[in-house]
Amino acid sequence: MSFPSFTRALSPAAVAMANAVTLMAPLLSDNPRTHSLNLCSGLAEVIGLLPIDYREVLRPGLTLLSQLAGKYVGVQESLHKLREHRAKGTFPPTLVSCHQPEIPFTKEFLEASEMHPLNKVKASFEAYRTSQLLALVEAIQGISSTID
Amino acid sequence: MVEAFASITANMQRPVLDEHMKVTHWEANPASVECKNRVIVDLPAYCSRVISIERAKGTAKVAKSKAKRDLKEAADVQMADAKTDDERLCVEDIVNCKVASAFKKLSLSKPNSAYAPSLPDSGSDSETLLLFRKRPCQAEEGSSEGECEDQGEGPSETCHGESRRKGKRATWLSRYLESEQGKAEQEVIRAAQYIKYDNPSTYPDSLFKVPAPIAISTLIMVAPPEVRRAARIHHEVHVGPGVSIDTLLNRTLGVGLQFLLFRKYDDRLLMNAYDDFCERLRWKVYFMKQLADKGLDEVPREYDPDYDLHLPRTKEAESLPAYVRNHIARCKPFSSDFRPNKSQFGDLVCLQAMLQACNYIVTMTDKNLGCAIVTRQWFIDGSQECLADRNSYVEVSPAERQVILEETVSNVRELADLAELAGLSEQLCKHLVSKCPKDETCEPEIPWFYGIPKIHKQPVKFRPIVPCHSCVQAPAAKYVSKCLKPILERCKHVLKGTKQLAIDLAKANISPYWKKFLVMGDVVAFYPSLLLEQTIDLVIEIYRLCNPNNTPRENEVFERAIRLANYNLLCEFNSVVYRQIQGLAMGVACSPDIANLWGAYFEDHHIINDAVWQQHVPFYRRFIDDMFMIVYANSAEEALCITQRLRLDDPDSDVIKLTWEVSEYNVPFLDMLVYVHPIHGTIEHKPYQKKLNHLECVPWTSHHPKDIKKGTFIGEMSRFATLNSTIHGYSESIHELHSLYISRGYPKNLLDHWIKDHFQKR
Repeated sequence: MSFPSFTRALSPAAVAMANAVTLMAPLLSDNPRTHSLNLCSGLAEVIGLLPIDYREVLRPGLTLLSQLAGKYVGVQESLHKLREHRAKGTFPPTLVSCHQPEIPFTKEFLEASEMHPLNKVKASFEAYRTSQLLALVEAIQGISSTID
Repeated sequence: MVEAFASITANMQRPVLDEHMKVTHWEANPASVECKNRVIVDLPAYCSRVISIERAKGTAKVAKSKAKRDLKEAADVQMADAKTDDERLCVEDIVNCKVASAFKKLSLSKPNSAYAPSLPDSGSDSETLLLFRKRPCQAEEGSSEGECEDQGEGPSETCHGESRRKGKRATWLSRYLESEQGKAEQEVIRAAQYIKYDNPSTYPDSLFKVPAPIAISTLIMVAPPEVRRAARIHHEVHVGPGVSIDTLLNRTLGVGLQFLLFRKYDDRLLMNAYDDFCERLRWKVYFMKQLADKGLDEVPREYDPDYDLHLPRTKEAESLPAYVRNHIARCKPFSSDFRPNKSQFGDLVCLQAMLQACNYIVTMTDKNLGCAIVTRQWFIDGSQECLADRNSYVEVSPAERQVILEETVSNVRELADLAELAGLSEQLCKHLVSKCPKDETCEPEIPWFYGIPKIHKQPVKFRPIVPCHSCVQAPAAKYVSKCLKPILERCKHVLKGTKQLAIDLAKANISPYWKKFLVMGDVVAFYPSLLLEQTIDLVIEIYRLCNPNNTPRENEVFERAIRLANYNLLCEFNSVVYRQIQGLAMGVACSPDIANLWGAYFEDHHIINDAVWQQHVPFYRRFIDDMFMIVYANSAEEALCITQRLRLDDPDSDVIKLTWEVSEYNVPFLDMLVYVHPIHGTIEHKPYQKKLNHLECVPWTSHHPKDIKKGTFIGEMSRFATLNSTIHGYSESIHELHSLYISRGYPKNLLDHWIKDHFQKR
């Protein structure tokens, strides 16, 4: 995902910011004020670089931006994990913990029947888990595309 | 936000004064306006920084979580080797732990507790960890004590000696606890009680600050006993995509069994061996007698076992003296009584049936990681993927194949004639043409190409193998290899194996006080990267320089042989013939020697001319494409800069790419883990075992004779004696080996007996 689409996902205001970043990249690269930004490793440090009069004004906005970005990264990570499960044919813990219903059959019945009576249950259970996984992927993809 | 900005600017207006210094009105402050403008301009950069910080946090979180999972996998491997699953050891640990905690509660120092210091904020669980960690140090102490005893103090300890030792222990312990590693370990100890082995997210981050072997050992230590016990049967055989096998067979193959199928014993084999021995003895006595008659001390060595043609004997030696015959005859009844032990292994039948039914094959894996079951089609596809590289292989038509083979056979015959003219031994001349077909209408053998899967890499790729042992050029390659061996022996940076590395490390003069880094290097695709023409020219040049007394004909023989061995190499796969067009082939006898010589030429050149290298690199060795060095530096980056000065090719050509790994604590090299002793700063080493390794060994149920089983066990003991630099490490390795063999079904008493007999000898 490109940077503008990422920021657009976060808030309408960020769209303008993202465009500004893209457009002003050559200017910013020469701006000595922004150099120290590269050394920041947390939100507090970024806010600390603002002129003191503007810190409290911008703090809520930047905090919200940080929270949204964190959530976005989390969503992407979850989506990545689910896609990995889908590709490998495995299931996430939430689906692994679902168990197939079991009921005991009499020995005579099992011997008389040609195939195990629970085979159908097993197949439908597997299909259920697979469909749930796909639905989860789609749901999270939906969140992701909404953000995009 | 615009309003807020306007409000800030409005609050920061400046007064306008008249000539009487009275405020007439207020106007916008240019400084605050400029400040506002700057903030507006910079705001996007601030926002993007906030976003990138969050992304970086996410990436770091993922990387950390992966590193923790990898650590667990490594611990799983070590645990599954049955190395730590010794009940006795567990019980001892528990007892030690309980005793230590009981003494602590009573505010008493533990008797004989050289390695149980009271740490601030460390509970009883913590002490268990510390006990575990201190074992090596205890051994170090033990060894130093041993040295003192050797120096004459004697085993009867005086009070003075004991207090001095206690003081020494306290000193190194305090030094250790103050060191970076000691601090990290204390953090691990504090966090240990919260670790849940099955859940890597509960592992503390401080685990990454301690060396990997200690981190793994810590995890194993905190793992529940049932997990450790279950780990014995944890391994499953490596399987390729689309393979599904029965659980029992999976485990049977997964524990790394090396089967010998049951065969009916053929007594004639033993009698043939006895007859062969008698015949050899008769010839030996005959030649010794001849030498004694001529007054010579040694047999003139015309026979070279490397060029043995395996021709049948046509003559019989003279009869031996009667007293020797009698002694030999007395051996015969023993041999006819010999019966190897018989055992059964029924699962093989199931295995064979399953492999045939499902079209699976069992193949070896790269890096000797054990066997793998893969589908035949996957194996074919993987091998063909290697051959699809048009830079390395080209398909050859049947007509071309015939021309190349005829030309090669003719060149081999010419080479043999030339060798004869050059005055080389008759045995060598015959050996050179030994793979040419007797009947000229027959084709010589073409090697079968195959690939072995690199299961340690994702996605799995194949290592191409061309087994050239029986092809028509093989004797020429053997001759080249033998010619190059003496030259390589003079290259002091080229290793023959880990044994030599251990010896060299012991002799190396490395300061324990200087800050040093261990660096491991790897040549990326060494064989295929080498430019054949350039490489062979260089090797020929070196050969000529190193053999100034050779006649021109001898040099020509070498030159022709090396070209013959490496050019026009054919291989066959799936009824299609390919020709290798680039690099050296894996499977030709002289390829390792040529590659080694190429590397040795450039590294020697570099080391002689680079003053920085000479100053900072006290130890450097290379084993074909793996390099190891010790670098004096203040930081890992500095060490890397120094090592990156080394090149194994011309600076203009840039054909050989090197990758480096720097560590302050330890690096794995070949089958050895080289590490810096955390206290003494000396270089030590211990065996290293790769991840995914199944530690294959002959199981007790196999049909191998008992002597072979004993031989493999004692061979392993010898290997550990070489790979360990400390006596404690050796005894620990032997203990692990003992546990491993017990888990493979060997009787404990028998293993104890073998260890008792051979522990000191090794």
